[in-house]
Amino acid sequence: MRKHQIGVREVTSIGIIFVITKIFLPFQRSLSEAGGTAAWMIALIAAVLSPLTWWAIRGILRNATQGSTLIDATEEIWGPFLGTLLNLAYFCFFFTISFLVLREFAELLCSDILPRTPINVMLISLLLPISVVAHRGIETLGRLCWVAVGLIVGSVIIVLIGGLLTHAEPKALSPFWGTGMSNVLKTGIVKSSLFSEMLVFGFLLPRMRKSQQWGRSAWWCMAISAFTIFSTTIVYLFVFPYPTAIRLNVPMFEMSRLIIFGRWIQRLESVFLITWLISAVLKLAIGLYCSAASMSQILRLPKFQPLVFPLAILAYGFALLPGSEMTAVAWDGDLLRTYGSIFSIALPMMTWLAFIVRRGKKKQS
Amino acid sequence: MKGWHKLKKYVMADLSQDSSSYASFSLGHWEAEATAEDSESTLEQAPAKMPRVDPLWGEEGPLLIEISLNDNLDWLKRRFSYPLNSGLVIRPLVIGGGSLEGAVIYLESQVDWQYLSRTVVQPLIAANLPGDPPLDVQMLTLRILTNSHATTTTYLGDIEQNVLNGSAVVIVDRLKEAVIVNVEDEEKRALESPKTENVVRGPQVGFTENLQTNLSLIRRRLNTPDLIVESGVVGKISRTRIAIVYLKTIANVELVNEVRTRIAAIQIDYVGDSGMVEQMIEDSPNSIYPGMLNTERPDRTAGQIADGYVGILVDNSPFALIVPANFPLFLQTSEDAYLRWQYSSFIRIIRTIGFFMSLYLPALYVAIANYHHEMIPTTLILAIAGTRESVPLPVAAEAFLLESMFELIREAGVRIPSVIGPTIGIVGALILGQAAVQANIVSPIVVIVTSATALASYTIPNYNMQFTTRILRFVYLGCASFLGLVGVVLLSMMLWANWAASNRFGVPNLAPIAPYRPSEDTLLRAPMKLQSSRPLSVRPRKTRKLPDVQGDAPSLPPEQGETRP
Repeated sequence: MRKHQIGVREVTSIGIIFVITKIFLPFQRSLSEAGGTAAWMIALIAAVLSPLTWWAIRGILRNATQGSTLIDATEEIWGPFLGTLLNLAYFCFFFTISFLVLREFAELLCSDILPRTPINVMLISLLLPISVVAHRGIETLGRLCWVAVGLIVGSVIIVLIGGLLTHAEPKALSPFWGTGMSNVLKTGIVKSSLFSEMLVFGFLLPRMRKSQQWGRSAWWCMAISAFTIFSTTIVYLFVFPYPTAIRLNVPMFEMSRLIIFGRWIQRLESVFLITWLISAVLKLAIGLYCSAASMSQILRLPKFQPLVFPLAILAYGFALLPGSEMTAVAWDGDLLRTYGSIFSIALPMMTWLAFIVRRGKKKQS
Repeated sequence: MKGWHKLKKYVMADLSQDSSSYASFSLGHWEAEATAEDSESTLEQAPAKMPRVDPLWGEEGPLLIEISLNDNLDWLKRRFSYPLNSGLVIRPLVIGGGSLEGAVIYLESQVDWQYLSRTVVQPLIAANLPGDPPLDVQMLTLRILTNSHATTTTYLGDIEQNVLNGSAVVIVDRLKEAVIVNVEDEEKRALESPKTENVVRGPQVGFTENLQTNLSLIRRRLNTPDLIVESGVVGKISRTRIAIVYLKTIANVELVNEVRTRIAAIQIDYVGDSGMVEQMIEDSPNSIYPGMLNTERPDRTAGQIADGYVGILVDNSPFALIVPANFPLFLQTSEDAYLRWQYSSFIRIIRTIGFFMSLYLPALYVAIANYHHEMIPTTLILAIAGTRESVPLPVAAEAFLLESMFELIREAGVRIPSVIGPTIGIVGALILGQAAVQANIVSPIVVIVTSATALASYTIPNYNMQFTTRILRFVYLGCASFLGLVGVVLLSMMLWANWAASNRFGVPNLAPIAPYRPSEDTLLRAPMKLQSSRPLSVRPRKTRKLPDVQGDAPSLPPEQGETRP
């Protein structure tokens, strides 16, 4: 049987969907709370810092044995004990993304779309397709992401244009520095974790045929993700002035509600919901796949599939841990989006540096 | 505990690396870019062979013809349960009016009696045999049986098989070889228009039940010595002839070998139609999506073969199978190539919309009417509410009811004798239309939705794909009534993921869309002049469709006064 490889399109699509799906959650509101009218600057700073994750992953994979994933490479350089600990940290990062986003999306659907559906039913209904898609593996994920990415980004652009056409506040961005220059810059650096999901490249790049293609997919992913995150933040500020912006639960959903393209085309949030739901399922499936793949590599299992359904059940249990939607959102903002950079930038950088030091020592000896 | 082995995989981790042979077959590294070396497929293992009828074995090897005519006739009589079995005819005769005895054996009603008499019996009786050298099969075939296609054999198994196939066998006393003469009486249906694949523009001829006729229809369209027809036999009892057809310079070697391997692995006693072969060799028998394309159009088959696909023809079946069949093929017709690209692209868009409407329309209506009222403009929702006021059933039940009624009418329409065929239309219209609305069982909007869905499903050119949408429509309806649009999307994700994940004869189902391969002929069609390459998804040996400047294209005859270089 041939070992299947992944193409540039599929890798880029997986990366984009994994990174940008957070725009359908209360992400813009969190940025507005942190940066005020300068929330867009935070998104911009985070985008500028996003290549750090890419460079670190590239550095690790280039130095490791050919074909190694981030997990294999980490263990290769740090040894079995420390390497396993670091890999467990990666696993925890992916798993936390999975269960927190699962809870947030389930809450979103329960509160805004199907208000009479219990949260348990919604969680299970979401977990079923997520597990099935994750179980089919990275090739299937890549194919689905490639088909869906145009739809998702297109729907976002339509919502943004529709929102701006419906209502735009001319002085939305003033005061320019929002909550203050130093605060905005500091928050921008902390929120570089907005692109933490790029860690998925640690699993994707070794499956590509040529290492020359790595850069193409990573830069495309960063460019489109940065554009999407930045544009949704700035348009949100234009459509909803600051006092309203910090109060809305799901900004993109509210923006889609505003759209009026004539008498017949209005209240289209359910149409956009279709693409957002696709995006959410794909993101969660990628998260579950990465959790299962990293754990299977830590445990040296030949297959990741047996771990998918047990991890899905675990994700269900963990998703019920936050007492309310607000707690889940707070965990996302205070934990994932604050300390996410430790996993996506600091740990890979450390590993890369360790590779460089070891290589230097080898040369000396 | 009987089903434990099926449940086990969900309870206990299966860490073995093995997978089923069909699922593991792949024509390439799919997600990567296609490269030139990918197209140059080579076969690493020994090529498989098409299945044949097992030879009859005795204690010392294959059963050979005996020197005594009577011994051979006795063996044949026992084999065919003669005289209990009235079909076998043994016509004894004296060859050349001398003392040499022989017999012509054949099955009644399988042979053309007049042709047999003219080409076999009369020449044998009237033969002028020289005394020296004595009669042998060479003399029989080259000097006596000269008006027919004759072959020789030394095996009793061959004699049996050829008699069954409609040939006459000549056995002569004191000769250890027999002559097989093809005198088959081919009672066959005349060429007619296809029943299920009508076109406005293009050839109006379809396959028949006769394998040789079908092969000739393909050969007429592909006049090249590169066209290979490999024959075999499937079915232990039916011994049905089967043929795979491909172009040796274009079709992928691995693909052809995989087709051979799967056909050779068929274990079945009776094959009635290519549909049975299809079920025996497809990748995922449990998948709801069709595994291969079937067509009764020779032009469609020839066109696909020219693109690097492999055709499978089965005797007694007017449907050819084409492999590998990826999703876009099911929304294409042969007519698409005959129409200008603007027109064919337009009708392909219509078909694609029809496919998705057929799958989702009733479910979307139920989801929106039940859960997402805000999507419907106020005036329309008031109109719908007005019509639904007197209907006691919930929206989902209405849709289920009407869809079920439509399926009943559709099935009845197929089975009903043609004499009372028009009745079904009247009854159907009454049930589905006015009467149901007047009885306040359903609202008019559901009638419109069901009718639109029915029309949409008929735009799908492939009969099997129509079944897929018909069945899935009910499943989507269930999900829509349970969770609205959320349910529809979540179920779609599961089904599309499963479809996207699996291969058909080594090619991903959704290729060339996902994994993406550049193609000028998928959901839209490029102008004919721009269609320069064959579908990369099937990894043809020659990717360029148009011949090179110095290629092997048929050249034009020289003009007057011009000489050939």
